[in-house]
Amino acid sequence: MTRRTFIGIVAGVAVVALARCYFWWRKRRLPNDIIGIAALPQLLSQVAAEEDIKEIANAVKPEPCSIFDECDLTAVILKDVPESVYSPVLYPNKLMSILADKVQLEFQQNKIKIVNGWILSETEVMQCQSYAWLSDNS
Amino acid sequence: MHVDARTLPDPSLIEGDICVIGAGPAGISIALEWANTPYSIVLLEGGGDHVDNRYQQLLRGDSVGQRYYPLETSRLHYFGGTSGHWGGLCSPLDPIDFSKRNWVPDSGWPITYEDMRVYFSRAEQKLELGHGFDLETWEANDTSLKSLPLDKNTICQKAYQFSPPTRFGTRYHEAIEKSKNITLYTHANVVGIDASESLKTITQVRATNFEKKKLRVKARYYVLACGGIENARLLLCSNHQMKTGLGNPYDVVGRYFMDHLEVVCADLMMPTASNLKLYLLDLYITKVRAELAASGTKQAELQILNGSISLMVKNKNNQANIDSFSSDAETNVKMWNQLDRQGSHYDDVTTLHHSMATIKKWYHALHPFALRFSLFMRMEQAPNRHSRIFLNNEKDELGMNRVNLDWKFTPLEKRSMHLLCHLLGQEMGRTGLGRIRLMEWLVNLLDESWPSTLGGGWHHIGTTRMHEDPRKGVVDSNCKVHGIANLYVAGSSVFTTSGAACPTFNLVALALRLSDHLKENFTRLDNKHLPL
Repeated sequence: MTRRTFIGIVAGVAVVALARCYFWWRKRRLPNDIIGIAALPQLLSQVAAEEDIKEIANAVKPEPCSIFDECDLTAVILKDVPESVYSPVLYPNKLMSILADKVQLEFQQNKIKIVNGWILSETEVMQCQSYAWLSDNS
Repeated sequence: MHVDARTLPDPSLIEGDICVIGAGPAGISIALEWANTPYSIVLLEGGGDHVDNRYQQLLRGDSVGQRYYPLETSRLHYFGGTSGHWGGLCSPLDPIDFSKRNWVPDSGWPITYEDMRVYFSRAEQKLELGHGFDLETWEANDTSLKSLPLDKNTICQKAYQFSPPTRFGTRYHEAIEKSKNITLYTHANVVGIDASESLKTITQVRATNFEKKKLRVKARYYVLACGGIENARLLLCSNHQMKTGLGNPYDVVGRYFMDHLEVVCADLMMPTASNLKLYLLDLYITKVRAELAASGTKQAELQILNGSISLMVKNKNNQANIDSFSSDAETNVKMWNQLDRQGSHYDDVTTLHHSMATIKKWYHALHPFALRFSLFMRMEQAPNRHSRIFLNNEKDELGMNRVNLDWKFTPLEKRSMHLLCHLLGQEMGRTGLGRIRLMEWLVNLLDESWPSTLGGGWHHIGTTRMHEDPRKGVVDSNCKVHGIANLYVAGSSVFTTSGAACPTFNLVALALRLSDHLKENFTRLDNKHLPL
C-alpha cells in the first residue's frame, strides 16, 4: 500500500466518522416531542387513515445509510428550519406551520413522490416513515 | 313538411337542391338554416319518429379491439338522432386542439379555432345554452359559484354548459314540419351513393326501408350527416364504382376512429368541505360546471394530450358507464324521456337559487359527505390510423354490409392521464386544498393495460377526418369530400382530432359553418344572395 493510498483511506474514514458524530450530536439534541410534531403529515393525516400512512412508509424504498431511525429522519425534515423555532420546545404551532409551508413549497417546486398512488411531497413521505417508526416503537 | 317514405310509390324519385342524409343534430341544424329560402331541402332519416329496436339492429356490428358499448345502441337511428340519449354537456374545443402538435401524430386541423369561434353563438342558440363559456361571467352572475384558487398557468378551469338537453327530434320537429321548403322523409335509409362515371360528382342516392320501397334522390349537393360511424360506413359500402368506397382512394375512410377515454382515474380527498357547487353536477339543475385541464403551455411542456377532469362525489355504488349501459335502445330512450319529464319540474328549484341559505341546505342535503371525490377523466385520444371501423361480410336487413369497430390506443393516452393527475395533485398540494391518490392501474406507466371500467363517451370521431392532403383526410377544410364536387360530410366524423370537449356543440358549430359555405356556393352559382 502506498502512502497516498493510506492517507486517502484514513481521510475517508475520518470524514465518515465526523459525519456520524455530527448526526449523533444533532439528534441527541432533538426532544421527543419535536420528533413527534415533525412526524405528523398534517394535511395527509386529515384525509388518510393511519393504515394508509403506514402503508406509504412501508412502500418507500430504503433511505441512504445515514438514516437509521426517526431521529435521523427528523433531522433531515428539519434541516431547513431554524433551530430557534424548535429548540427548546417553545413554538410547536410555529413549527407545524413552517413544516406545512415547506410541504406546500415542495409541491410548487415539483419535489413530489408518488407512493401507493398518493401524490405527496418529499417531506410528507419522510413524515410518514417517521410516523410509522414511532408507531412501531411505542 | 314530413313524409313517411313507406307511403310513397315504389319506386319514387325525389329532387331537390340539397339532400341531407341523416336527421340528427348536424343534419337538422343544416336543414333549418335553409328554412324560408328559395331552395328545396330534402332531409332523409332512416328511422321513424320514435326509437325502434328493429331499426337499431341495422346499426349492429362487432367490437374487435378495446371493449366498447354495443354499436347498435351507442347511437340512435330515428328523427333527432343520438341527441335522444345525450346528457347535454357542451363546451368548445380549445385552440390547442386545432394546432399542429409535434408530440401528437397526425394532429393539426386545416382550420383554426377562430374559424370555428364565429359559429359558437349560433350553436349556443341551437342547443339552448346560456351565458357563454367564460367562467368569470358565470361567477359574476351567480355568487354561489366559486372557483378553486388554482394556478391558471398550470391548470385551466373550463366551463361546460348544460343544454336542457335539446332533443333535436322533439325540439325542432314542428319547425321542420311547418317549413315549406324542407321536406323530411322518415323511413328512408340511404343504402348507396351513385357517382358519375368520372367519380367527380354524385348523381343520386338510393334509399329503402323494411317495406322494401325504393327511393332515389337527386340533388345539386349532398351532405352526409349520419354520425361518426355511419358516415364512413355509407362511403365504404358505396363501392360498386370504386372498390375501396367513395371518397376513399387512399384508404382513409373509417380510419382514425376516436372516442374520449372516460374513466375514474383518481380520488381527491379534502380536509375541509368547500363550496364546490361549480364543480358538481345535478342533472337538469346544473347550468354550468367547471372541469379541470392542463393549460396549453403545460400540455406542450409535458407533451401530453388534452384531457379534462370532473369531480364526482365519491359513492361506492358508482357504476362505470360501460357496465351500466343497456343494449336495449328503446329502454334507454324511455329512461331519458322520463328523466326529461321529471327534470322539467325542477324549474321551481332554480328560482330558489337566489337564497344562499337555501342553496347550502339543498347542497348539503344532496352532498352530505363532500370531502371525498372521484376524479372522472375525459381524455383526448391521439389520432391513430389503426383505430378504425371497417366493413365485415355480414349484411343487415336492408342489404348493407355491417361494420366492425377496432378501437385502439397509443401509449400517449395513459401517459397523458398520469401526468394530468400529477399536475392536479401538485396544484392541490401547493394550495393546501387536498391530496390526490391515483387508481392503481394509472401508477405504473410501463403497464399498458387498461381497467375494465374504461369506456368511451359515445363520441364517434375522426372517421372522415378533415385534412388538406387527401392521403391524410377524407374532407377538405370546407368538409367537402376530396375529389367529389358536390358531396359534403357533417358531424364529428370530420374532426381531425378529438380534443377533450364533448363533440355535440362543436359538430353543430361546424354544421352551421358548412351550411354557410353551401350558401356561398349557391350565391356564386345562382347569383342569388342568401343571408348567412
